[in-house]
Amino acid sequence: MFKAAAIGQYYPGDSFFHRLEPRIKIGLIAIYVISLFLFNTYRGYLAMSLFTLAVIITSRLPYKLLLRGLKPLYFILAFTLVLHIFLTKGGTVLFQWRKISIESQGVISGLMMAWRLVLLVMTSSLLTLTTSPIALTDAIEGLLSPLKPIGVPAHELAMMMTIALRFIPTLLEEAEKIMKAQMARGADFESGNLIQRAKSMIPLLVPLFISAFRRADDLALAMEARCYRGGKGRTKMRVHKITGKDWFTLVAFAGTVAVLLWLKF
Amino acid sequence: MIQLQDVSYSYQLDEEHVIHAVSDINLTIEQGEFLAIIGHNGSGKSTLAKLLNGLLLPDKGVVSVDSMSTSDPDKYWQIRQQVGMVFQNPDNQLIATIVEEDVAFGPENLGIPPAEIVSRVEESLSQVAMLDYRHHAPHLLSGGQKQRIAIAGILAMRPQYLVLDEPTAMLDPQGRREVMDTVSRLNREEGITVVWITHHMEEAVRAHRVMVMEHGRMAVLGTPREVFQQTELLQSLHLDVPVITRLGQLLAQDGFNLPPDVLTVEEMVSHLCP
Amino acid sequence: MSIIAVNLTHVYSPDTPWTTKALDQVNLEIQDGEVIGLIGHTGSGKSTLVQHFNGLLKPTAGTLHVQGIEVTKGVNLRPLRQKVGLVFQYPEHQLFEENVALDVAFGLKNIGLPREEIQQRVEQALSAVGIDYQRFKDRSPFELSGGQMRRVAIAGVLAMEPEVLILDEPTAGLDPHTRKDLLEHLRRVQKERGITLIIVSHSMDDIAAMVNRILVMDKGKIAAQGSPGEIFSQGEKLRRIGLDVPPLTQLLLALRARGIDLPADILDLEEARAAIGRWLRGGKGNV
Repeated sequence: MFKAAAIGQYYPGDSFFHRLEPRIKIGLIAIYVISLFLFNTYRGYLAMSLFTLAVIITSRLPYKLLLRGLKPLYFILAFTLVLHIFLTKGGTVLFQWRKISIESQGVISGLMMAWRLVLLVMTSSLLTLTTSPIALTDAIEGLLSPLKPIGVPAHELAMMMTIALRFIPTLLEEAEKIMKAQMARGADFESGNLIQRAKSMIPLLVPLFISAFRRADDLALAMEARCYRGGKGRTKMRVHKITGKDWFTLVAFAGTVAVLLWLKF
Repeated sequence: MIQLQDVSYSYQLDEEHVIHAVSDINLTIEQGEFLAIIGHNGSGKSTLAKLLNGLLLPDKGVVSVDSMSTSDPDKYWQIRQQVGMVFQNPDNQLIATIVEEDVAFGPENLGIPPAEIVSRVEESLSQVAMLDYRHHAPHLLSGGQKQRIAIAGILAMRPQYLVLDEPTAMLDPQGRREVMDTVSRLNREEGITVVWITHHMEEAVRAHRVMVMEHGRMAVLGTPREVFQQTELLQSLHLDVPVITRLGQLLAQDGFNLPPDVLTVEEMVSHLCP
Repeated sequence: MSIIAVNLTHVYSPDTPWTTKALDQVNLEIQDGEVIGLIGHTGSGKSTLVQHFNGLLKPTAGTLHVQGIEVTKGVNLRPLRQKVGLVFQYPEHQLFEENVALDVAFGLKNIGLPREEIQQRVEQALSAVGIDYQRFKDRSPFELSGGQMRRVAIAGVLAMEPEVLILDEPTAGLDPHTRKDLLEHLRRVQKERGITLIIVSHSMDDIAAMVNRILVMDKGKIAAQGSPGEIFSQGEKLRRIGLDVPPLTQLLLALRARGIDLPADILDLEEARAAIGRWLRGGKGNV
């Protein structure tokens, strides 16, 4: 029931993209996402698709894993497509029935939008697939820390992410256990209308929250006992160094994209 | 040396109800000692544990660690580094998603340079025989393994004292043995002072001294032999006397020549067939 | 009626890299009214096995009949869940209602009993575990002590009046006094109602005296079964699969290893005292 927990899913490997410094990786993805919205030619899309494909192939990621990441998106994809097909006008009329018409421009922009979404999601899941959760939180902390003076709690956010990642499997396991225990007392989580089903979640959610709070209490105490006092004066076991190769990759990618955009490619 | 002088601590439950969790405790924990604290649930033993490293501060009296008072705000972190603490639920004290990251948490908080953290992590993990698991995810380990990781996380801070608050309560017999053996070895070989809190009498047999708590007070303090002889007192406190000790006493009652303080199976065997 | 498993096998996450065989061709038969101790270390398959008994899990292969109902895919197992009560480890973590009476009544409401009967059963179930109904019915379960919470949670299952009652580690984390008292109550309930009682544990020390038969599980199989005395006297085997042998048995086995003719299957302190006394008086020892 809760087996589909794919959060923070990391697929270990030793490829070029795996080894890139996580902060640089986030930078690359950011550039990618922005440029995806700036391109609006077929060739531009093709170039971006090739970039993605190249990373997928060189990282030796199983295609299945990437396709699975798209699953929750099917509905949105279909919705985008339908919306554009019926609402965007222009080009030749392909189909007409009373007041409803489908025109070529609609089909094209619908497909482009959907493809843009696919690329977006695939590329961002490349980040989580090739970067360990710890490296990722470290990178987020590193990127946000210049914003500390204006009140962005960079360390706290990273710590929260770490703890969330650590406790998600524990809480899922617990949820399953509580659910079974209530089922053994005749609880029914599966039938009934929406309101009944929402109500039937109470015997699951109340104990789960209580347990989460108890764990939070314990954890806070354990952290305090291990001298945790926020990010100040803290060191890190793992130091991520941005190498020349990392910078080169970032600059090369940004340059290529900029040139393509400038040429209205 | 940890010293407690007339230490009391109470919780304010609501306007009218106050729980005197710990009352007038006087105790000196010597360097290198293995002290077991026994009592049933609610006897105040967990509160006492938290007083030892300043997680709780006494209402009355003084707790001092190597002559630093836990009530001195300047010494908070130094005391917590010196007095490491392991809790009951292994799941709720591991912070990171990877074993070695978790062990590094304490030293990171202390501001230790990265290279030294790496060597401390390796050393601590090998002290609890978990080095092979350094890249594993904690939630996939057994209870005993998780508890050993928690101990490694404390060791990496290089403490003098190790306080364990019912560390075996949620473990199976195998996990219990693993954790007990690990801690006994740290006490024996590394000279770490151990305060072991439990309600399992059998676990207290290995201690140098046993302290029994009841209603927040010290009911009795002595060597395991001295304490376990006092069968009637222990039973009146709803505690079990180790069954071997009890057997020895019953046989002595039947007129056989057995001392009242036989603790282990091996001792009993050597008494019965010398 | 009884529990009969034939070649019962259960595989978690089949056809994936992390597939595990939790039960491997288990054959067993449990008669009505038996008191069974099911022991095994963590991961030996004992929890998986008992979750089959009330249909929370279904066999991957083999067959299982419980109280005349076949546990298999596609069968409505709700009637079975009433006949077989399963109390999970740390059941106090499942309490959720605003007061004790409501929490115990949860299962009864789910099966749609009339109000009067619910109240009557709640009262009975609470008193069966030693909780005073009048004093506790309106209290929040979260204000109780750990031992009391455990009892209330067990009462929630007892109120369903199951024919088979299964408890997974019912005494885990309780102190010796509370442990003894809880087991005492369970034993009485079993006698009065004549139900089948299955206690799952990794340490049989304190329940050895109350069970008729022990099943030892290891690696998804039944590794041994027999009376408590028979089981514990196989000390070496138990230790090999990560289980504890009670201290008295350890002593008797150690003495036997030195060639002293004492029975290895004594579990009771008084019996051990008498047997060792007889041996010592027989002049074989020099104490």
